Amino acid sequence: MPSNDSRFYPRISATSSTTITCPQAVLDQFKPIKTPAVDEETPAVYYVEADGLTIHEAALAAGIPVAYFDESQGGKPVQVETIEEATTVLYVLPPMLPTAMEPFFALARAQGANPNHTLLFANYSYDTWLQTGELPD
Amino acid sequence: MSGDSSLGIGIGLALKSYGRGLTYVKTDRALDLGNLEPFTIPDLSGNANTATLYSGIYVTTNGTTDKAIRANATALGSGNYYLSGKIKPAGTTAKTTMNGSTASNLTGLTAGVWQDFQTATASAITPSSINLGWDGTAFNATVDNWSDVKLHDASDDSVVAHWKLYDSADASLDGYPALDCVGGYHGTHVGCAGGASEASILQTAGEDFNKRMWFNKSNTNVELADDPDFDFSTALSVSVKAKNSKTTTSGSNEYIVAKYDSGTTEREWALAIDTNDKLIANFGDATGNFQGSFRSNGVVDIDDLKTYGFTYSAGTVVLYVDGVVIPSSSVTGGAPATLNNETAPISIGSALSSGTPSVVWDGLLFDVSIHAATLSASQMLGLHNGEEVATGRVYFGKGNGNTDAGWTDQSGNGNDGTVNGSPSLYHVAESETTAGQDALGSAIVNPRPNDRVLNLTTGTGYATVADSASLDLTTAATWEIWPDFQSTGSQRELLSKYDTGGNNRSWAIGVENPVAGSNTLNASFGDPADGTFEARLDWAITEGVACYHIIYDGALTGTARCKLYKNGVLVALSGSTANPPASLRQNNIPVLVGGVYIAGVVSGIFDEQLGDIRIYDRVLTADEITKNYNARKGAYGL
Repeated sequence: MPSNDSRFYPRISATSSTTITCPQAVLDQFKPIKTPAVDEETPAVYYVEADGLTIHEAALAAGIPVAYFDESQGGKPVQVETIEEATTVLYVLPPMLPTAMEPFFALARAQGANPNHTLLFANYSYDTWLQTGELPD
Repeated sequence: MSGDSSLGIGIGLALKSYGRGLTYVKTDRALDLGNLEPFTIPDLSGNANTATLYSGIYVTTNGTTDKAIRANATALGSGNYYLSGKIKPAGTTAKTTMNGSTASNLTGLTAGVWQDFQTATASAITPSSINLGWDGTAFNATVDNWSDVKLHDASDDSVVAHWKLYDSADASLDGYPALDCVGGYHGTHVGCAGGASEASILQTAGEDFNKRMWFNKSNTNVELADDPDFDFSTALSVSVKAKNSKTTTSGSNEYIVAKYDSGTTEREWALAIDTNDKLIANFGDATGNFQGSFRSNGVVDIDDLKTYGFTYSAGTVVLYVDGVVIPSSSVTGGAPATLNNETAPISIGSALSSGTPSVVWDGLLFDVSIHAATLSASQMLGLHNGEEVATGRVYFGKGNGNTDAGWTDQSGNGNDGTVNGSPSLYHVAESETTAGQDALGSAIVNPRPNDRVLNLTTGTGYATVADSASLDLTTAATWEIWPDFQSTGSQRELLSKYDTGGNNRSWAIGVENPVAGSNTLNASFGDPADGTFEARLDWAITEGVACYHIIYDGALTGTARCKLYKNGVLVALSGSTANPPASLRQNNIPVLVGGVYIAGVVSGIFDEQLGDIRIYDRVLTADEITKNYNARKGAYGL
């Protein structure tokens, strides 16, 4: 039987990851904490779009797992250790409602990218991409 | 002489009678499932109809960020170690390390199938960072599945740690514990997803385990409705066993148990881990507004299993971790001399905000004990050690599972819990070093009565018996089953040779319990010619473990063709859709134990315990049925 894995993977270029200001809709999914709650009277404060975090900075601030890949040679992506070596950043997000994925599709459309290339899915496009580098139409 | 002779005759007669009493009918068995063996159940009938267990829960790593286990067994010391286990890799290699730097990688694997693996022995290492899917520098770069992993001391091949990876089949396991059933070297799943119902990777069906609730979803908690028992006034004590999925709360309070609604000024009291990983007890003032707290001076390791608690006595608060007093300080206004009393429910696993679960716990909570008394230090230590303390107890919930039944009040006060949201089910496998306990040291709540019982309570396990000529029942049959039927639920199947989707129905025996107390055991039959549905017969039964015999005699007419005996006594038919057919359909699908096929997909899984499964290809007589019941009832405590 297949794994129950239903995580999804925003696949965003290293350049976009480090230059595009993270949209509020994506921040709402990441929920990076700017200042922790002190007590009941002083709740946590979360980063907002006006803070100007890049997508990569927002993910790291939120503790979202990230993986860096070099796809410049074509074929199977090669995992590298730093974003400086990478052409692509893969963000690992837990299973969510379909509506929660919309901000990532919107991000892809805003960049003129194919949404099917920007959001990969476990047990489907992610597995194929990891093995061969192929992306769905 | 006469005395000796009488004694000898008496013993002989007694032994002969005893021997007959222990024997069930052995003739004309088509199937007789015996004691569980790894991955299979042998057939004692002589027909070689061995059952295959489909029960294994496993862990998937994604090849980029996941580690199936990250565990620290430094306490084992330096030595020579190796890993073994089961893997279904996407490729032919897999990465592991035992110390976080020395690669112990696997090569020569077969892609896409489950197989045994064993690493080479790593010499003179300390197993300080055991990882699967990562070798200390790189991930395995493929999507791999792991199960049943052991760490061995190469000096004597002994198993020093055993991570069954059986904890949960959830879609996301990040932060879930990977429990060690031998050495207590509990690890963590880093990332990872779960899967279930694989054959021959781990004999989880049949083994004992405890069910726990994983509080990992928003809007998830267990509520105890407000009750005069909860008007604590000047004395209150609380104790809870807990393990968080994370090493830190990362700036967000997580409430363990609370009678505390901050959205409606109904604050009374609450126990939580605060934003700095300190244990904290919050209190409301007489108007239900925030008054103050008592907070531990030091941080606690929230990803370790701990017993958290506090005692309250007229404004004096003492915090406890693992039954021991920990230093704490009053913050802001401390606690009132008399506890505020509002109408909000007690919430386990969260506080409330206008009635909605808020600042929820992320991880395990169980053994929740609440007392309208100020317990002594020795009593708080007793609660940590698993003892039950009756003093002033108003609620005790074991947290055995993610349904209401798991949170029934064991204190006798009727303050039963109600589960809200969609929490996950977490399995704590049995210890391999302490009989009767699980890997976290709690007593097994519902141990199997004997080794012929399959524990199917994960809801994902079942067994199949491949079709054979000996299983082709025709015009007469008897099915014998010993289920422990407890919970409510829709139709679930005990034993079947029946595919509803493929019009390949022969016979199926199931239970249905839509509402507590309205149980039925039912038998369904297909048309012998075309496999379409023919008839279903129902008998009302009561909950609990019992011996059931369903007999089928095609030579009779009407519903008399099928009868049910419970514990050797005939049960009156309570309903039928039509008469059973005069003969049974011969089909080529397997016998399913604990499920039924719908178009080839296993469905209707029976999620309780089930044992002593026998099929005869004739009708047992009433005397024989009684004989079988008497032969095995002792094994079930009947």
